[in-house]
Amino acid sequence: MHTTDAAASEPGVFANGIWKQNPVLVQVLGMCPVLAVSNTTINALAMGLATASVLILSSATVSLLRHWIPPQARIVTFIMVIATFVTCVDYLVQSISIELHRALGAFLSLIVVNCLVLGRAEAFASQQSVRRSLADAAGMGCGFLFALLCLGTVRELVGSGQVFGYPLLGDRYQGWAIMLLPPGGFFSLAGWLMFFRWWTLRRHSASGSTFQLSGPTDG
Amino acid sequence: MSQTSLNKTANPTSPWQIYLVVVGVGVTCGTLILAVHEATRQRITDNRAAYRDQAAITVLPGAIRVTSFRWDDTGQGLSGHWVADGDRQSAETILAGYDPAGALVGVAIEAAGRGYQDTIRLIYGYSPTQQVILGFRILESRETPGLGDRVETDSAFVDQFRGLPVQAIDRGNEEPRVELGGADQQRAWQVDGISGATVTSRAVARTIAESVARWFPRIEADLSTLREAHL
Repeated sequence: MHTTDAAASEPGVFANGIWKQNPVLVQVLGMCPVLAVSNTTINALAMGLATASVLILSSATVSLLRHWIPPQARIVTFIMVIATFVTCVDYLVQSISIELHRALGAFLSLIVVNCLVLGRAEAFASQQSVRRSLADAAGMGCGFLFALLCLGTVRELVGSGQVFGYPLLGDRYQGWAIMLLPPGGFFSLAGWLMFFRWWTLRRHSASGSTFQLSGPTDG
Repeated sequence: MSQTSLNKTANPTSPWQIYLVVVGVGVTCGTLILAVHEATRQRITDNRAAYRDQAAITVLPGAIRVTSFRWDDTGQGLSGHWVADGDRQSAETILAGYDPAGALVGVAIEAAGRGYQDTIRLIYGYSPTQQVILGFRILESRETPGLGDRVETDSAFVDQFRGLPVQAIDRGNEEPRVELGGADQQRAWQVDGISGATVTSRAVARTIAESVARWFPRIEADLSTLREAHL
């Protein structure tokens, strides 16, 4: 799936992460934080930004170090780099807002084990120049943030009638609590996946190009 | 792909080279973490204190400033006294809230108890003059969104704690037993819960009741220090 990545230019690589290879809606990676922290829009935004910054920092570092890291030590080195940036982001979030840090809970620390971050380090950054790695990480990060916001908006709107805490559906709206609970994460993810696939298929059939559905990768 | 060194596995890497890289990256990462920790430490400490002070003021209506006190248990039993504690590092501190004139409004106490999913940390206000609970606020909870977190938003539940009396029941020679609720009123475990959040709402009531029982004797033993701190 990464064969196209190598050929594309930097803007192409960036766009790839947001759309064609969207980490959540196409690759179905990093499902744990996606389902757990998308119950409100603000949580989704904070989690998306935190993951994107870790992704960008670690991809750039891995790409910088790629000539010096022996293949046998690559996974342990990548994990160390990722864990370092996650810890730094954790401190930074705490220094910005304790309330936000509490809302994100354990999932902030768990960015370390998000397969998206290690996946990009291993599949892209360790083989590409810093500029291309940055473009790829920024694209993937934005794609992850976009998908989290898609889920967060629907869940918060249907679950409590609000978006970013602003009541959009009025005081009389009785929220569907299930959308804020774990099942709501699966429902809205399924809805978005269906919509995304339908929309991509329709676009391809309209343009007359052949399009093959690829199954989700392991995550 | 030609730029990569990872794929050039033709030359076997010596173990020393691997150790060197791993240790080097580890030391650099450690240094970076240390630097960020040092750079953000003061702000995080200030944020935590501000968060707690803000929460304390919300549970002490009328208070505009809070002072942290630590129980100095130098003597036996209740012969200790309150000491103004600037650093707010210890969990064994309470926050006394004062109105603009410097009169004691009440004390805000942090408490933690087992909820449905995880420990619930809350802060509640207690008025030693009226011997009533003034209100509470959840500081940290992982309770079910939409259900368990209603202990904060359900006004019928929250209002039960505003003005809930605390009474010490005399038990002769033993230390008095401290309970929530007046003589003819419900006990702590009879506070009306929230349907769908039974465990959480009971946990909140129990946590406050246990904490009051623990701190009430100390507050009573040296109330004058708390009262006179800003007079």
